[in-house]
Amino acid sequence: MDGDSARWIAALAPGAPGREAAVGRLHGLLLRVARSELRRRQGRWGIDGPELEDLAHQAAGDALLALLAKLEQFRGESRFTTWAYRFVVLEVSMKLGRHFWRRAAAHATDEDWALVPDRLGMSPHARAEWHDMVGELARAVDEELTPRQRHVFGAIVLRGTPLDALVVELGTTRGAIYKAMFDARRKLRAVLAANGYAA
Amino acid sequence: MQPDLDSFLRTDPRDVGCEQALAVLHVYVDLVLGGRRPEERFPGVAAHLRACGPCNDDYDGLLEAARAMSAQDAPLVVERFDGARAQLRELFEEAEDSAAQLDAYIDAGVVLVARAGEEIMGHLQLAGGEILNMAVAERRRGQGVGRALVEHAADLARRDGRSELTVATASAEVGNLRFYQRCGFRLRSVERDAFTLEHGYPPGLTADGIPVRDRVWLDLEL
Repeated sequence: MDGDSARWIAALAPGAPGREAAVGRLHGLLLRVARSELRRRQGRWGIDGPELEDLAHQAAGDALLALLAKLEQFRGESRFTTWAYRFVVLEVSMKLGRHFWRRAAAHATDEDWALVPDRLGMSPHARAEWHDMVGELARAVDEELTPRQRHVFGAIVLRGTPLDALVVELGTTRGAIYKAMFDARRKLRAVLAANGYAA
Repeated sequence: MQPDLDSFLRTDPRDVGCEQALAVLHVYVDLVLGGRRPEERFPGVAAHLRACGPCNDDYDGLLEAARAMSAQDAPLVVERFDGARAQLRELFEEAEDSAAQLDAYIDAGVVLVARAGEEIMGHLQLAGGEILNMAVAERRRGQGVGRALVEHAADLARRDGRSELTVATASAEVGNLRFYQRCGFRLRSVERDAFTLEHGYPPGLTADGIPVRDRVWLDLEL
């Protein structure tokens, strides 16, 4: 473990003299990272001003509590501050996922295959080819995917719901949604390949 | 199949998924910043970050935060200062208006300093269970530095077998009175006309608009 990391751990240990100051200092650092991370993402999530500041404080506070509860799990594989900042970056993602639904009315959209090329950032050439196969892909989504995979695929790809917002809606984890999407992608690719669409 | 949709649908069997990738994200980021090749140690994480937008977003954010780290991110450390006290004279003078008095006691006892990296943010001088002098650099006030110094001084005094810590300040220094009482000190006595010319204090001294005349003693039970 590097010297600064060891000093952080010693200063934050229960009963350490000056622990309150160390905790306050760490909270200040987490708040700085939360603000900067929210500013980095604000364009995509439509947040600003007091709303951003409020989310930053919530993310920093929750990250601090989570981190202090797991202090003994820090093994020195990275710098302490990188480990600590991971908590706040992940908190920011979770908070934004929840925040999405507070503005759900503004985001409510129907499933729309026509918007998929934009969502996937397709090139003009790819868009032309897309039109030839969208029917086959839609059929595969309806017939080959499980109901859960279809729900996840529809929300993310056809309605443009951010994955972290879907985590909140379904009360599950990012990993579970990703796995459903991973399996759906694999299945759809296999179906398209079997029907002669493979490159 | 056109390439954009193909790259979206293509899955990598090495992909470890979100939980495993996020569990080592901090290690991955520090390897990147150290000029190492994390994709060799964590190929499954690299595969995941290529495919998972939200995890890749977290990776970008953590990389940016870790890259922006500076001396400001160093932990606050309170330690004994063994250098020449003259180096800290400016800080001592923050808490002592009489140069003659300061000259008389500056070398007494032990001095603790609060530092973050190379920056000394404050100091505390402790002798015989008494805080003789203490100050926090102006731009570092309000960050818990003073409280950390007092807590370390109390710990040191306790380990020396003392049962109390004492400190004196001008009655006019209401900020000091508030600070020490917030740290648990209680008022013990008042020494009238302690800050006079004969003790080296120039006439007309004021603090917060209050004439500096009387000294207040406080103590903290250890």
